[in-house]
Amino acid sequence: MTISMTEAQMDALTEVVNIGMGVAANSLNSMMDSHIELHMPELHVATPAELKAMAETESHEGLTGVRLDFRGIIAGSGTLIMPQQDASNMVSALTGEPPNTPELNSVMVGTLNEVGNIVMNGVLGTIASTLSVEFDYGLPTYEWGEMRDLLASVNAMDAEAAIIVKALFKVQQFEIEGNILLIFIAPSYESLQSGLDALYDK
Amino acid sequence: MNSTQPIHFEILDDIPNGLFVLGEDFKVVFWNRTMEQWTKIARQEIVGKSILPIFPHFGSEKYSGRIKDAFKQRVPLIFSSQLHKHFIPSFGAGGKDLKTVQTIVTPLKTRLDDKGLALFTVEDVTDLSNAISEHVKALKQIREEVEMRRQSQQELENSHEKLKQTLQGTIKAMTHTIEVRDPYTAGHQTRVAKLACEIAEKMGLTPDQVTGINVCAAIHDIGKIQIPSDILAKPTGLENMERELVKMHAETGRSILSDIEIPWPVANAAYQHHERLDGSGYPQGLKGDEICLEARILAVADVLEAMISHRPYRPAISVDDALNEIRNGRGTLYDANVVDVCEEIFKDGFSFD
Repeated sequence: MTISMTEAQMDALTEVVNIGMGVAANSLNSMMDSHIELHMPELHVATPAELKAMAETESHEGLTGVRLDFRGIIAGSGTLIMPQQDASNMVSALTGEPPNTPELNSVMVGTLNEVGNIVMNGVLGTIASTLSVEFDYGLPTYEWGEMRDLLASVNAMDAEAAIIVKALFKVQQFEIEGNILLIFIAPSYESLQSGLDALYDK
Repeated sequence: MNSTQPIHFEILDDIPNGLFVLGEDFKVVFWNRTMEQWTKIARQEIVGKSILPIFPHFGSEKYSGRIKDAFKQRVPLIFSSQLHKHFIPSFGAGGKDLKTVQTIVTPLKTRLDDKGLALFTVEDVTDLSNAISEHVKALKQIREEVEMRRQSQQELENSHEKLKQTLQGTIKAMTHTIEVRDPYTAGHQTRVAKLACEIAEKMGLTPDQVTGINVCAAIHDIGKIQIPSDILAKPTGLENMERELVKMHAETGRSILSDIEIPWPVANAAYQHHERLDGSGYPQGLKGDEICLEARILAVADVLEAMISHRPYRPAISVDDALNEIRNGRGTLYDANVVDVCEEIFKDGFSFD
């Protein structure tokens, strides 16, 4: 499988994702008392070899993931991945429960599912509406483990294309790093590229 | 798919979850039986009307933006029970207890009068939430108990350490008591203790046993407190009666020490340190294994130290001569193992200094 994107397509997708992250940040802001600072995401198209390397080299850290599957003319999944401590800090900031306590652990999954829902809705919803396509969404699924576990659950190695979005949120006193992994399954990738190209025609 | 025909949502009455359908104008299109029971709001009071006067929070920034996105982008929403536990205030059978709910919003493909529709599924997770809370409480209690036990354990260890120090202080005081009365005994018990501990360690006794030997040796002559000083320091040989009086120090030592609760056989060691394997010792004439190990070790250390120290009634003898004396009594008067180990210790360079 050969994955490539033109510079124009990458720029367009970066802009779309940025808008989507902005939508997500607005929603998160209204949920929390404090301002969420969002930094311009970096996008990277990942080859299968790079995904495999990610699975192997980044597999020692505990991670949490919230995955949203989508179907349509463009199909795949989007997963918000955070280091466990960052996820714990995010939930602590949202719920007011002290970090690393049983009280916090009891609210982790539900809260993260909602955060993942907000972020992925922002990103995927904006992609869909910008490209004038419709997605059928599943409900968010919470996962945790090492990188290889999260990649395995989205069948990343069989993906037609994978786009990694590095996003940085700042929430209150915490700097929370979240990565969004967008997996597109066949024959979505061409549709994605066509949709991005069409933006320039408009 | 736009419908201008009635949509039969009544099928949703069969589902035990709370279900209602909202239009993108925030007007209620359907309100199922469960929602009626939970909210005490009859269907006819709410269907066709805006939800905002009844539940104003739907219009707040926290909710309206996300709900409008759901209609616009047709994305499903989760309002988790952790962050929105009373998203739609719902009550139990008694009508008082608020339920903890999780709400999922699913935009529908069907439109009504060209307006988007979304299905709100309100799930009662009260029991699950309560179970989790109880579990967290139990976990917290367990942690507190573990911490209390750890603190108790620490206090016990501190207490034990203090007791140990008190005991050591008491032993020192007892040692000093007899040594104050008899200058020749001064230092004797301490030197005997030093040799006896070396013998005990070399014989492979446990650290606790060695500590016990140390304590026994430090106060083995406490019974001498009942002997007049002029007899203890008499420069000439003792009369029979004086000798018998001195011999009583073993019995006296036993009676002083037997009432003290101490984890080592100090009373027996004081009582038996002049016994000999062949029964020729005193005060009881015990033989062989009737003599406790501590007393057998003390016997050798005591005699050796006494021989190589100056006494008012005789001069000190050399270490070699003293060891010869002990060797002559090996197996008959003195424990053979103890004698052998004692000789090794001196060969390795032991000194009382």
